[in-house]
Amino acid sequence: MRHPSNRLVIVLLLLAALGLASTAFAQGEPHHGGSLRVAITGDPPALDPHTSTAVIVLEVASHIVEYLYVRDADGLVQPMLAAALPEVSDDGLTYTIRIREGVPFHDGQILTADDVVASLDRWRTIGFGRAYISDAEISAVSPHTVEIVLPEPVGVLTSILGWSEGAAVIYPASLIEEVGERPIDSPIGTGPYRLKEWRRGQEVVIERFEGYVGLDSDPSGDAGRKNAYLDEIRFIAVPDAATRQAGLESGEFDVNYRAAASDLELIEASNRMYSWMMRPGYNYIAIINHASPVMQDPNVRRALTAAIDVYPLVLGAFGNDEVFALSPSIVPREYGSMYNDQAGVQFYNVGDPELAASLLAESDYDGTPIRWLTSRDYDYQYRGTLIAVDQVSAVGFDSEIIVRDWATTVSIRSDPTAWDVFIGNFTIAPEPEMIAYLTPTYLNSYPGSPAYRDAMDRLAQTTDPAERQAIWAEGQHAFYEDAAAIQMANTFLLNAYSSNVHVEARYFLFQAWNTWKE
Amino acid sequence: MLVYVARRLGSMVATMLVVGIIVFFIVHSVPGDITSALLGQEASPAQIEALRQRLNLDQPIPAQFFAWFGGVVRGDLGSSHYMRMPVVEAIAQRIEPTVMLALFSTLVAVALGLSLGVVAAIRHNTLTDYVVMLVAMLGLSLPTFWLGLLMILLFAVNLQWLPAAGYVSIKESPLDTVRYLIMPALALGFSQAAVIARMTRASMLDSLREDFVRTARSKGLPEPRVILRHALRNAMLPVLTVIGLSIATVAGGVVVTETVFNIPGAGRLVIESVQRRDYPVIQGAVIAVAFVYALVNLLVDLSYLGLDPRVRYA
Repeated sequence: MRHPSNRLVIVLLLLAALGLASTAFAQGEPHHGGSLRVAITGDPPALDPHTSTAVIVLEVASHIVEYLYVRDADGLVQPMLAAALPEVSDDGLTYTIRIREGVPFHDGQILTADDVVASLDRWRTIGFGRAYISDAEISAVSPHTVEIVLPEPVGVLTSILGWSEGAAVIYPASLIEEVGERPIDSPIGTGPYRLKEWRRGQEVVIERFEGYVGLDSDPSGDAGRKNAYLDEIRFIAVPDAATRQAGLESGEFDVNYRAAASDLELIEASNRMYSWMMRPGYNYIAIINHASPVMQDPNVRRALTAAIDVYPLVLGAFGNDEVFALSPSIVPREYGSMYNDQAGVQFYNVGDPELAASLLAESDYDGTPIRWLTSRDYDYQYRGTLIAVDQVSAVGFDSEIIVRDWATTVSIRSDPTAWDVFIGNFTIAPEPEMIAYLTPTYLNSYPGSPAYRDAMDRLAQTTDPAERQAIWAEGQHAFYEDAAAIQMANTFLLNAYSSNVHVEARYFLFQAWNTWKE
Repeated sequence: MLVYVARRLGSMVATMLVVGIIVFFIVHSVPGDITSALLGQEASPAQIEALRQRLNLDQPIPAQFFAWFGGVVRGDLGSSHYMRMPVVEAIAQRIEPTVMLALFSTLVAVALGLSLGVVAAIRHNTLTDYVVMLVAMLGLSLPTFWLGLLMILLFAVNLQWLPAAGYVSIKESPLDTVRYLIMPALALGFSQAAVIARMTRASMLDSLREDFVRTARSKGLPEPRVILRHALRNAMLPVLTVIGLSIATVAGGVVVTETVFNIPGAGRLVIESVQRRDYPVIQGAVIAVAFVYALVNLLVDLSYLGLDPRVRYA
């Protein structure tokens, strides 16, 4: 017989569940107030996107600082601090950028062209801009107009100015003068929130900036209106994924930033929380070290590529097929015009052991073990590597798995003599020139076949979108044909929200403006 | 005795310096550096090289050692590359949660361990004894992190009685400090309680068989007085040694517990610094841990004086 106290517990739990369900389904109007507690994966290394390309830096800092351009939900570049898209001279060498007037910084100064010049100059000296506009002349031609003069065309300049990772954020010139090249730990920006407190290793607290002057257009992607409904947002460092999830379930946190894929079913089954998958996320690929002697032979690379059956590999790595999408396009659909799911598609997801074995037989492969570098700090890397090794062993490859902690893995990866293949998540960008592993200076040392190099050279000089699409189709085909890397899937970023948190618009990255709490 | 204490303090300083030297060469022999944690995965080789130069990581290891060791001798443990603040300040900011957790865990371990051990000894070879020893065996066998996760599931997620994670400073709200520390202290203290209980039981059993206990009983002293004043006091010397060791073990266990319960303490700082290769913090933290360990040992040795008048230090 069931004990009476058991029945009491069940009744109480049901009542509690009903109570929670009623709040979950309550549809309130957006309103100001409240504090949002976001459990993030760790203490950000900086709050200054000029000094770090880490995604978490931008995701926290983007509430505080803004940049000239952003991307809307269709992947198109839209103005943010700029008043309009840049005017580009016919020769593609001069960019004239008008800046919005009357935009205040958190310290009361008003944004001028001098601030933009100082910020872009710093960004191209110490940051992501170094690879693109290090030799450009940047000047203020009026209080609200900036001119960038390039020595040669940079086809992706507007795109880069609106790119999130290592973003070209705008600070007051006075702050840059004070800090120089050192990281800015107390950023002053024009964003809807300003820094209140950064307790290193613990939390970043930001509060609404009452003087914010934003855009009136409807929110779309990162573009448009930014309503700062929340009084305060606390980004709390919680490195352990299970603790983040438990904290969300117990009400300690409102958002589990980067929930584990294994928790997706639990989240979706609950009426106390809901999931949001941020797309396109990352490219899950196997990068091939082209500096390694065994990988110099194209037939070895082609045999490897043909041996990989992508779906079971990615499913095994991530454990849930709702958190990824197979994609032959190197630029994802969400980033607009450069998406291409046709060029080179015949080389994608072949998964044909017989073909792989015959390609291997045609190659000079002498049985040298393929060195797969991986880290158990990221389970999806390790599991994917195990499955890949199993698949390629079946066609005759010998393999050696090098398992290290993440910091050591990064160190080994930078040594071109120490590894052959590395499977992991890599940042994807709207333009091929911005994707690190497509460039010859990245750790995979990909020099490119003549056809690929030709396409990339032409792409770098071209600004017309239609022409760029056509050229990149050639480039992507050549990349596949050369088996430069093993393209697999877009893997999404899973965030989990408490049911009393409402988000007006969806973004590529985590952002908490246009967000309110019941 | 003062001479003895002074000698021990002198040897503590020497120990910490030796520990510092060893840890320096160990952490620098491990591949990797902090640049990937600071710059992100997409950083260019030029950015990485510039940062290595700024942090002097491009210098030869002996040069880095002498620069660091010279600072240590002057009392300067250097600055964290990741947090961009002095190591002493970084550790000081994170020490309160760790000290509170260690204190609470030790309290749990001593209170549980002593009482269970005494009960098991006086109920020797009964069901109570077997149950207590079974609980002690469980305490020794269950990994702290697993016990912690189970407690979070039960008390935080399902029952919602206690917070799942985090810490509130005692300066802000002492009541919340206790609320946040109940589960971690239990998870961490349980295994040490088991060790103390087993030692207390064994030592008490020996003590209860001694002539002075028989004499005390024959004098007609009440049983609680016999147990607590006579048997337990004489059984305490080996137990105290175990308690001292368990404090040191707790100091190591906070690393895992702080991670599971997301307590922003010095243990988690060490783990994060190792993952990031933040050398100055790792080195400084290990020296600090060595200091605590040596200090606890000294205090335990001195506490023997109060328990056993025969003990003399010169």
